[in-house]
Amino acid sequence: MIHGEVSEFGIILLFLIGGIFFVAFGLLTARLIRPKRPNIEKLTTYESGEDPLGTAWSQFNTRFYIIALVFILFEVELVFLFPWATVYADQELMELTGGKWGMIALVEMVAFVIILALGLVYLWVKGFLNWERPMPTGKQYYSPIPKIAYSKFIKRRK
Amino acid sequence: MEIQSNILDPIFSLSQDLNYFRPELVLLICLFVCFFADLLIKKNKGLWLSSLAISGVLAYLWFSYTQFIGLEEEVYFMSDLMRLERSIVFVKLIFGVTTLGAIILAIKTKWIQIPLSHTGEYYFMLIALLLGSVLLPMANNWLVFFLLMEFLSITGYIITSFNRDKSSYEGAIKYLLFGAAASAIMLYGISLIYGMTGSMSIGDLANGMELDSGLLSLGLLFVLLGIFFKIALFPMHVWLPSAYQGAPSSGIVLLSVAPKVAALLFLWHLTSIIELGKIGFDLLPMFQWQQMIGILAIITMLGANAAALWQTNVKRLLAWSSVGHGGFMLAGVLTLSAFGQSTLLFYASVYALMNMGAFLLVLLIKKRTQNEEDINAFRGLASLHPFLGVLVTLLMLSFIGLPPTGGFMAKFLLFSAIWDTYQQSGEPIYIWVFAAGLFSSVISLFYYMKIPYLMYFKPLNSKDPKLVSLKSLDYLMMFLIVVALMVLFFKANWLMNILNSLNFAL
Amino acid sequence: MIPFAHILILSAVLFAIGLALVVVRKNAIIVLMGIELMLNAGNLNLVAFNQKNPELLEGHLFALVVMMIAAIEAAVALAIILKVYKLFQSVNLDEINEMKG
Repeated sequence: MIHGEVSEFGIILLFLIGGIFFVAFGLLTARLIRPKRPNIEKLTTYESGEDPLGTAWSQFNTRFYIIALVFILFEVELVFLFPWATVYADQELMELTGGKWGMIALVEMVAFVIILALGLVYLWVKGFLNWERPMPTGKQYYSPIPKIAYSKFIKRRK
Repeated sequence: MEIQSNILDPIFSLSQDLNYFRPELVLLICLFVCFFADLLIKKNKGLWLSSLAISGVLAYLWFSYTQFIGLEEEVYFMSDLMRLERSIVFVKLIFGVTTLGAIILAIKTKWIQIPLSHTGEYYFMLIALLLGSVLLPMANNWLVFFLLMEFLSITGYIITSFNRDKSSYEGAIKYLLFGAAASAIMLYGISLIYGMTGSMSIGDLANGMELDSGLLSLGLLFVLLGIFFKIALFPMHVWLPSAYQGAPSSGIVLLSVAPKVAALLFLWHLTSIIELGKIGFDLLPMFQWQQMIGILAIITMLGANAAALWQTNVKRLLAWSSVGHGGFMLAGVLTLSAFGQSTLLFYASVYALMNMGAFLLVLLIKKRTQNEEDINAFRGLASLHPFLGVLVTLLMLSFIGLPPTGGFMAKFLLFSAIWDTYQQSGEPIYIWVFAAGLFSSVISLFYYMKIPYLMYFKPLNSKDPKLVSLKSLDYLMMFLIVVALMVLFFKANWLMNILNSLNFAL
Repeated sequence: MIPFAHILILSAVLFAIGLALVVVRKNAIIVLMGIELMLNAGNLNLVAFNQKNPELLEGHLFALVVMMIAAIEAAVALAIILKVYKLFQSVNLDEINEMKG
């Protein structure tokens, strides 16, 4: 760089270097500081969970997907909160308009969030958030002895 | 950026502009009411939901009507994001009536699968589809346009999957993948247009001729592709037959009219801007937009009508016929004159009516034969229900475009508009469109007439144990539709006078 | 400033990869991924072209809206694909083709 300035690509490179440095620095210091006393139990993948068997490429229960879908929807809608947050509390604008600016911004966002919340309420009421447990289907056993015989037997015992 | 103290003024003036949105606001309220009714009401849910939805649409129709009377010229509002003219308000009325028909069909068809727990959702989706399609032609900004296009498409996917059986989901996934790809292509096109014109306003496209137009015309081509997909023109129609076959019949009544006509009206706006800006498609030097749209209209009319000849499933047959009618209406766009627009709107109204009748017929047949959709279910029906036979014959005559029905008037007016344009411009493409339209009408005779033929000349398959006989109340609505079609033939000038009185921006 | 041409080329490549995935692959999920790529190519263009008229922020706004729409579309699509998988035991688009004609 002739003028001592970096180009746009240079900024991206700086970001890359900075990111790598940050991660490396964190990991390295942690390695230096932490005590190291491994045992077999500690070295398992999930210290307090079950050991994973096989690969993770198996099929998961559909219920996970439904929850994930709902989560993605609500999460992505929040993308609008970020630009909103930058204008909401703009001190200059607030003073110029005597506080009206903040009110308008707030009301609009509240309306938006309420509509989102209504979606959640709909899911909840319709029962899509329920974690449906598989119904225990015990083995059907047809006894050759009729049921009346049992009840008679119980009665007699009383 | 300097800040003035009157920075809030535009926001308050926007709330003034809400006056133009009265019909849409009514629909929005109706959506929320349906939503809460679905959640809160436990007793008589179906009745409540249906009456709420119907009254909501009726209120919407009333507000559109007052808007139709009150509006005089084209207005731009919401800081030029939206625009409104009388032809758009007229289309609002058509869509409203179609939605009403769809809801009535949905009520009448309790015996068709949609269970009560989904009824609220179904009405919600129908009304949302209506809302999207009345807003789409009003868009004057690429962002608004894209948003509404997606709104329409996504409600469309959901309505298609509403039967919740194998064919329904198959149709939905075809519709969805094609639709999503088309909208992604459209987005890319919009981004190119935005880059070239530096403005999101659709009207600014008219300045496009001063710009380096290579990328601009590519972007425009991509956007047009997305719109053509929505209208389902011939190469972009692949999803449509399966989607319509799988979707609930009452849903298709709306799905095949509202998004299609809305997209056509938007296309009208866009082509008039292209014409105004004299934008050529530099990448394809032979093509002006007239050639492109004309060729598409020809392929669509001929291809769809030829493909319909081999169909044996009634819904699939009607789906192909819907593609064909899309081609006819596209030919109307080609004229780009005030008379052309009147005839296009006339055609759209007649088509909406006919379509309602046709899917009512499908539902009647499904009721009679317990969910049979095969065309052979019509065998010998005329001997059992002679009156229904007459009605169906008239309806099919209207589909072909023969007198004494509104279908004839619609095609007659449309073709005369094309002929007029040919006389004025002398471009050979118009005469080709004209000829293809006539020829495909002749082709359509063969498959539409199959249904009356089976009804009158084939013996009744009386051994079928599943037969349910129809009551005359079942086809009261059909009677009304056919009467309306006849009125549109004998008193076509009533509607044409209204349509001609719309003052256009042309 | 990064020249427009670079961004345009990048987005065109992204778009082409997405389109190729949509056309070539038969797995419904991968087709969806291709569609997302195409949408992101459009987004990239929009954000880049915002430089032409920076104080209006139209391009940025559009990109945000597109992200949201893409998420909604993906949610609907995945829900339908789940159902299709349940009924057809496959997400191969060649096998999900029982209605023809």
